[in-house]
Amino acid sequence: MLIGLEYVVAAYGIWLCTFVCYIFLTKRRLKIASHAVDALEQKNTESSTRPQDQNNK
Amino acid sequence: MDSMKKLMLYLEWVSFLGLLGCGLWIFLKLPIEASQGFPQKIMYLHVPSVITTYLAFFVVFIFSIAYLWKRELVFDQIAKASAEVGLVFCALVLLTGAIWGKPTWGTYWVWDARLTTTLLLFLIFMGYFLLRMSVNDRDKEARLASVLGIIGFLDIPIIHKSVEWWRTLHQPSTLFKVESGQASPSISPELYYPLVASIIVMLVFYIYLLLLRYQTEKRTDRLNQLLADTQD
Repeated sequence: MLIGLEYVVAAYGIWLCTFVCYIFLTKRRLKIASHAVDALEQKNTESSTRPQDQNNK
Repeated sequence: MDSMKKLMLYLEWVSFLGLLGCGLWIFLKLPIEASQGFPQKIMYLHVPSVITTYLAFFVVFIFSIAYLWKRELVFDQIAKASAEVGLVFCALVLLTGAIWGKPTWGTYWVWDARLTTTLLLFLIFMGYFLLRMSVNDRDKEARLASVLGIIGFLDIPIIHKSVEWWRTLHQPSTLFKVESGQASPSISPELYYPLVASIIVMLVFYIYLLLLRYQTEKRTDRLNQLLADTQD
């Protein structure tokens, strides 16, 4: 049995878990923000073209 | 797929394979260091994390100055992204250092100059985010955070020099040791090269995280702008 193995496992385990969680949460945030931006931009485009359509009629 | 997405995917894979390769090298090929024993392996995580923390806060320093000078939002977005990544690395530096300290020094923590100034750096950048959260105006938030980011970075030269200026339990610089004007790392080549490889891989990993976080910041700002326009 290696002396101090538990400290090495703890250090590498904490480091790895931190970044797995960090990357997962950041990617999730990016995805949510991107969807919201796309939805709002689409809504804005629709509302800006609607009065023009009515004028054309 | 746009070029930024391609670059991020490339960096993600390079970091993942690099970290895996370094891990295999450290645990399967390297001998166990004679004086510290197996816990010395923590150094391949701790030292690269320290250097990445320094770089991340240096980026905050540069882009905070750039923001105060040019008032371009993109500079503040990069500074904020780098500060967050740097804060995560700084927390891991404190944690991995404490875990290494227990078998080596016999204690997790001592109020040593190097450890205390590193904790101070962590607290300054915690304050940096609290400050950002407490201000509603985006421009004011960026201005105040830039000033704090510049002041916060000034702690890093103190951290680096603390082992020379004060009597500390922390060992002096081994990787950046300078003797008679020349760099002479006090570490055997067998242990030196995997450490340098770990540092390079960690820096690539930092660039990947910075880009990922910057993309999120850019999108969040755009969302806030659209929501403000909708309310008007």
